[in-house]
Amino acid sequence: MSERIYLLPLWLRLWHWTNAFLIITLTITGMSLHFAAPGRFLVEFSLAARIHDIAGIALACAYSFYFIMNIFTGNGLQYFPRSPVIAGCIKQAKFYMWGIFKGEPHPYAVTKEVKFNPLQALLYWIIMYMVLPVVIITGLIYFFPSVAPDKLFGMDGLLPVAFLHYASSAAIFLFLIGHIYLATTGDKPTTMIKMMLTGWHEHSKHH
Amino acid sequence: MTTLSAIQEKITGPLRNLKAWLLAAAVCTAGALVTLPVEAASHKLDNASCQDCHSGKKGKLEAKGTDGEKRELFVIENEKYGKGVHAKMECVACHTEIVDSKANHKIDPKAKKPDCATCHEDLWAKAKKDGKTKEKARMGTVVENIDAYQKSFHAKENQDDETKVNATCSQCHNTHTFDIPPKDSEARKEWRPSEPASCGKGCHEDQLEEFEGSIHGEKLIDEGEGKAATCSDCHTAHSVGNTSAVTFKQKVLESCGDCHDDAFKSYERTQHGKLATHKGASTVRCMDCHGSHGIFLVTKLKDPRKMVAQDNKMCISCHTSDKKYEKFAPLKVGGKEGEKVERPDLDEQHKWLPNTKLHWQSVRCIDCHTSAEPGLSHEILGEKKAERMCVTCHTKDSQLATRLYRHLADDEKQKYGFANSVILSNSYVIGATRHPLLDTLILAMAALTFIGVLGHGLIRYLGAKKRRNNAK
Repeated sequence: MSERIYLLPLWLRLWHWTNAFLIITLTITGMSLHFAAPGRFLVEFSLAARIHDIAGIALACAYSFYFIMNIFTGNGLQYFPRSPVIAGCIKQAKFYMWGIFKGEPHPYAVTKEVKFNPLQALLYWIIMYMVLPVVIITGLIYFFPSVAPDKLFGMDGLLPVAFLHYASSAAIFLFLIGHIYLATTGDKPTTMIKMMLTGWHEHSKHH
Repeated sequence: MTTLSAIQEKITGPLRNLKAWLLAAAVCTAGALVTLPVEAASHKLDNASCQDCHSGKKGKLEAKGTDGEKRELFVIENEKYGKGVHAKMECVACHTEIVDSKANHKIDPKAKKPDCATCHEDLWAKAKKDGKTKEKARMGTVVENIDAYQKSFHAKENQDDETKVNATCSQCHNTHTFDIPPKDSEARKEWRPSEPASCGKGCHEDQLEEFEGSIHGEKLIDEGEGKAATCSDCHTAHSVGNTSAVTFKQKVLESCGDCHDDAFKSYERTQHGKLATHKGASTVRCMDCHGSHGIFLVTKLKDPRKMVAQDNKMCISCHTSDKKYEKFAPLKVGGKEGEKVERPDLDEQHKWLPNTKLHWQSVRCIDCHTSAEPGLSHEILGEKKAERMCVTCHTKDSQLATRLYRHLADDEKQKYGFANSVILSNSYVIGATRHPLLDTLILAMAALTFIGVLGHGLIRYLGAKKRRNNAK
């Protein structure tokens, strides 16, 4: 038998999948642009440049929506790490490193009040409130290059902007790999993905 | 007494004779003194006598000018004068106004002042009359040069001082040494590096300064390379004229082509080049891009942004103005009589290019509109042939390093140890500005994460399988 909790409201699910689609699009086009070479590209350069621009603007809009809704619905509070942060993270990490292989239950049960385990909360908090804003802001500066300093450390002022954009995007990409994988760690590999589509969290009764 | 008178007579007799001798001597000496200066004066107007004072060995020479003010006189170096074409001539052959050899000479008011033109024209007329034009061909050249000079800007009235012309013969030719070797001679090659100074000093100072900093100036003046271009190669020596005239510009273009053969040929094939060959057509010629006196102007700018702004301004000013474009546009094929090709809309033509305006600020039109083949071509490629592959520039081995940034690339050669360090330090170009270490680090982290999740997933799968088997 299993229990169901309605955990994820429609706006959050819509935002999540929009965000996911845009980030994947931006990753593919971003790679096409950064690693561009004659005869070697995922998407042709000029097309990639246009798609990247449009998707980038869309991502900024989606993020603004997400940010505002987080404030109005209180969903944002879910991301703030709860005490004890370190101990909680270690406990969760130990589960991923050992307990999960033995089929042990997740150490932190999902409730309507506390959706995320401590490690998840900390990571999402870093990614959503620290890394993604950097990606978006640096990306937006590209639309208005005059905003960037003319020269910095004797180099073009856009260089640090580009470096931050590239490095923070790479961090998002690494997160994406881990995030997709960890989405398969529900009762069944598809359980969590189903939850993200329906909004209903399902878990075995022993939780 | 008789004896005494006899003795007295013996003593005074010869003395009387002596008196007579002395008187005679005095008369002769006085006569000589009176006649001598007249004899000597006629001898002292030879070149050696003039040199006695005018060589400058006796110190500075000054004379009163027509305005009553003292002026310093030229020093005539005998050795140099002896090597000049006028060496065999007497000074007074030209300086006919000098009639005595004393300082502050008397001036014959009827005599003409030295005049190169009249003298040479007379000599040539005489040569023609005597049928000696072949032997004295050089005289003919001088007369041709005089004729060209008289039509030139130099012979025109000076705007600041109406009593003078812009430049006289003697301002370029030292009339006493007159040592400009004939064209195509070995000596001429050695002489050429000194020409810019004679044009520049006192007259065309700004142009000289610019020229000295140019590649032509460096080769000619600093390295003594006689083949390098000098003032008269473009401006001519005697027909110096209006530099904004199309005929002048066309002549300069051809002069450039005399040395820069390949560049000229590739230019000739362009629309600009074709227009240039039309008589009187005004179009973009060498100096419009490369500058006139300060050749390699683009290199001097150093900053690629300034290079781009300067170069693109020229292209865009015509290609965005119907009025200017129409002036140079070719005739429309199959159109009405005299109908010209319409100016294509620049924005429309570049619609395919993302961030068009940003590109125009960052790269030169010619970076895409010339061949990507090594060696900078002057052949402007039209819409159909121009570069459309973004990755020609937006990649690790960016063509920008051999185009817009080639001058800087030569200087800096990977100074920072980065890929495309020159581009990196000057601007950010997506795809080209890459740090190999950062790329490697990020790719390695991505690979490790992939391997990590795959390994984790495999162990989970095997664990689950084992548990299922155990449950059975």
